[in-house]
Amino acid sequence: MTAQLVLYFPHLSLALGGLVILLAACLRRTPATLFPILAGVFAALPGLWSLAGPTGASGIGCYYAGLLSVITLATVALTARYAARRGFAGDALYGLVLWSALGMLLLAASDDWLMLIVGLELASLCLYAVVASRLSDPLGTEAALKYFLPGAMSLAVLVFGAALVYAGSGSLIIADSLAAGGPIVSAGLALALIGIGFKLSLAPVHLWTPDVYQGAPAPIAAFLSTGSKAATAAALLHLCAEASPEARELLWPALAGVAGLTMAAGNIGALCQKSVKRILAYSSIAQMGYIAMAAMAVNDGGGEAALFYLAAFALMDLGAFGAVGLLSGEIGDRDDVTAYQGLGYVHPWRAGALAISLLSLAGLPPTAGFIGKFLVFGAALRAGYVGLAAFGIVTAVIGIFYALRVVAALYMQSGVEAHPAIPAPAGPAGGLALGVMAAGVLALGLFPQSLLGAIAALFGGG
Amino acid sequence: MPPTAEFTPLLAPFSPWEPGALPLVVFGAIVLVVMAVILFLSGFLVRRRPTPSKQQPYECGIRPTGPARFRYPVPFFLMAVFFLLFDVETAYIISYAVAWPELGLPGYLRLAVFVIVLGLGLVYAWRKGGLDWDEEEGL
Repeated sequence: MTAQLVLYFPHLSLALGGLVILLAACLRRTPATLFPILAGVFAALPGLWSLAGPTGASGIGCYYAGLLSVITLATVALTARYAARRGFAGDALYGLVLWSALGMLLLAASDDWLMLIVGLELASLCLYAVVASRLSDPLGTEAALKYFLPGAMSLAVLVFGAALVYAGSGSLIIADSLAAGGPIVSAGLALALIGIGFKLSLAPVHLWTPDVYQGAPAPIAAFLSTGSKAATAAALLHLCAEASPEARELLWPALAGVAGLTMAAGNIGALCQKSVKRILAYSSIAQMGYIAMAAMAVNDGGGEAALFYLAAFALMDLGAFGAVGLLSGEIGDRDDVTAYQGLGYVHPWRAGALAISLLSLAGLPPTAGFIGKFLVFGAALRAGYVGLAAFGIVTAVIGIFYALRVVAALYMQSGVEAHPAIPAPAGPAGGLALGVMAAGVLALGLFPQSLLGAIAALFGGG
Repeated sequence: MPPTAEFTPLLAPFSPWEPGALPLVVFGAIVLVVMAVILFLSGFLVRRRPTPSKQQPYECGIRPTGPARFRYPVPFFLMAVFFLLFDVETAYIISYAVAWPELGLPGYLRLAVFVIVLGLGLVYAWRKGGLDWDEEEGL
């Protein structure tokens, strides 16, 4: 009993956290500032649990408890003042964020097809509502609808795939069922990968991403692009690691095509965007292409590289979207690239964090993005995907351009055309979260061994 | 011992082919061709003589009034969602009750957690005004 309580402590704390927040809202005269504080406390507990190194927990569960704890904590900190000033802060927002994190944790650590589906759906259902949390904003509602309808479709595809795998193998355990092999299992795995590819916004099914990220409030977009992507990528890595050689032979060429197309679509699509949030959305599409490439090489060190890259990506995307949120005026988000002109001199700290995150997204040293790309391409080359890796490097070079475009807008123009010129103050929680993200991006870039060592320790010296 | 009667299907197989993908392909091709022909002919043969009454949206012969896009009160929708939630809860409780002798105390405790969490959900919906039949405000 106690062992089970220890094992499921992160899940329990996230689930209870959501309940406590909603119940606190039922009491009379609950101060509105209580909700983010409660959410922060309950979001921090899984991280502490994973730092304590519990016995019997799986490596991936431990890693993701820590990663999702950081992501949720940063999201809550970035959202707190942002939402309060724009009048959409409430108990439901924080409760749903916690429950969404619970779904992501279940998804990332799932051994079982049913748990994978339940986790994915719990995470997504909460996110659909959170994306539309700014009720007065028609863009947010549109984004939620654009996320929800294809999301429901992709879930149906995933469930159908899981059903086929079960029909072909007679097992719901992911490892056992995929090891069984056979054409039906391969077909099921293909459908499941399509469903997961939608959530990861891999190329032919990525079209929802820019609209949703643009419509969602900036800190929520950060949560969407980091937490949900990281957890779904864990599921992708798991499925790819367990796929039978026969299924690999059948599906890997398609996956290679998808990965290449995703890198190209993301990086080229971002070139002519005028909206910063859309640029960030396309950039996150491109990053997922690299993750898909690492997933193909998952048994040749690609898994560890992808886990490192996901952590780095979480830090830099939280930094970028968080900075966009903190630099925004009272109405709407600061979205136009031209609205960022000269901000680097007016708000050096927030603009600096944004610049560091963008340089990391572009993969320039000395940031975490460079190390992550280096590891991922190294793993792909070691696994023998030379053509794909070369193509990826070309697209990554293209990707430097749009990141530098925003950085240039921040620093290269002397005239301050930013409107509104003075955004709302960042607030202690948001400022701290942004600072930690930017510092984390630099620290992971300079001392990658700290995280790589932890990953290697968790996954048995990989 | 009388020989057991072999299973004989009532009808001969509908398709002259072995069951396979071919009938489906033929059927799909026919559907596509018919659709293409209908769409092409209706665009090609039609002569358009628009009049104001033809341009009106078709409302079963009634003259349409007001705009089509108006905010629609949805209290019934909320009630339907709540009903669905608690209906599913009933299904779980009944299936638990059937298995009561096997499950014993551990099963009781597990279901108690489930019911309590759902009860908290009901309290939340109540406090937030989700159960008020207010067509103007809603939840």
